[in-house]
Order: sequence, then structure tokens, then C-alpha cells
Amino acid sequence: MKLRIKYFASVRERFGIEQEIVDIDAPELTVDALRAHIASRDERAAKALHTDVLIRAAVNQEMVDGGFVVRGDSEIAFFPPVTGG
Amino acid sequence: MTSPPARSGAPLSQPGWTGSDPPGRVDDHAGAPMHLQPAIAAGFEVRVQYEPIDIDAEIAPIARNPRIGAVVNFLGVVRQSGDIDDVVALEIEHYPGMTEQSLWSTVEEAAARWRVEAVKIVHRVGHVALGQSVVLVVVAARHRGTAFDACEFLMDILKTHAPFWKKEIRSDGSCEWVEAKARDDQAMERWG
Repeated sequence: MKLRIKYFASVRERFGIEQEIVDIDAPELTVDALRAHIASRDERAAKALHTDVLIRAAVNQEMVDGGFVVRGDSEIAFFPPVTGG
Repeated sequence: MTSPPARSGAPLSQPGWTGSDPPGRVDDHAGAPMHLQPAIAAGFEVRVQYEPIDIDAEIAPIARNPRIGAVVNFLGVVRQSGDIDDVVALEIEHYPGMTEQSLWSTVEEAAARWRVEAVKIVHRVGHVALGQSVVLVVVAARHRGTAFDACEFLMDILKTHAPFWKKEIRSDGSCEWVEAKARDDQAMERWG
């Protein structure tokens, strides 16, 4: 399935990309598993998405936890805890 | 640099803080929801903008509503000493689409919990200089207690849920992302 992935703030800066399409075939893919999959790609990805880094995720613009199961054609975003206001 | 489109009109129908409203509702803001009188619904607005916030212009129309006896405003401004000293500006990033959706959900929940006549949230993005306003929250109600409570609630939820990220910029040009604060989570949790 094709997933549109967006990165924001410090995650985007460490990664060096704003968004990408990830094509992945995995049944019952959780947000955590997707994050680990992307992080295993190279050093830069690992630095941005390593499990030591506190990261939040949103699926289709709703905040979700790491166990959320992703469906095809979803928009997923990874970002640090928010700091508005 | 262009501004994202303004989101104005009535809050979404089905008030209630679920935090998990279905996606794709961000463009559904036209028209008043069934549970609100049109005249009341007209007073609800959320907006993300690059331009400075014109405080008087934002508040004046709300105060003209004859039902309103109390208007509480919160103004968040850029201060010199945050996570780092010598801050001259903030650079604020957001998640277009999700931001507006998140702010609307928060306004909806405030309208479900309190009898508010009008709510407005204006949040800046991009470059915001020291002393300038970052966010304006206006809550209008018949009585001040309601307006104070709802305004505090809106800011506490915004701080912990709305997808904005601030970067502090020093006078020498160096910068740091602002860290999320545990006290903001604690402030949010008191609302249950």
C-alpha cells in the first residue's frame, strides 16, 4: 500500500525531507512498525525517527498512538510534541 | 509568502471533545450547525495567519453582540527569555489542515461545556518578532466566570493538541526548537 508520510519541525530537519510516498506491503502495520521501517533505511532516517526520540504521530490529521493500525492511502505525519500558543 | 485561507463561520456540528473526529471535515465549516443559533454561530472563528494580529479589529465585532456581558482575551506574546536567553524572534511551523481541524475541535468542546456566545482563536505562523503576539483567544459570554474558564480551557488544549512548533531565534541568528513542557500536560489534564 502507498502511504503519504509527512515530517514536521525537528523531525523534518533531521530527516532533510518534508514528505514522501512509502510503498510498503505489511498486514496490520502499526504506526510504530512503520516508524521502525523508515528508521531502518539509513543513518539520517534513524537519527530522525529513532525510538529514543520523543515523537508523536497523526493519521489523516488526527493524533494517534503507536499501536494504531495504518490503512492504505492514509496520510501519516511524524513530529515532536507540539509547542504552540 | 501567502497566508493559508481563513477558516471562518460556525464550529462543526456534533459538539463534544472526542479528539478523534473523522478526517476530511476541515472544509465543512460553511453554514451554521443545527444546535446553534445563526447569530451565535457567526461569532465562532479559528484562523492561522502570517500577518500580525490586529487585536482591536478582532475583538470589536464580538463586543457588539448585545447578549454579551463579558469578553475575556488571552494574548500570547514572544518573550526574550524562553528555553534560551536573548530571543529576538520565533519561527512557527504548523501542519496545515490538521491545525485548523484541531482548533475547531477545541472550540466545539468549549461550546459544549460552557454557554459561550462567541469564541475566536487567531494563531500566527512564520516569523514573529520579540514582543509581537503569537496567539489571541477571545471568549465572550453573558458572565465573566464562564468566559474566564472557557478561555483557560481553550489555551490549555491548544498548547497540548494543536500542531504548532516554535523555534527560538537568538540575535546572532542561532536557533533552538522549543521543548514541550510537562506543566502544559498537567494544565490540560485538570479538565478531565
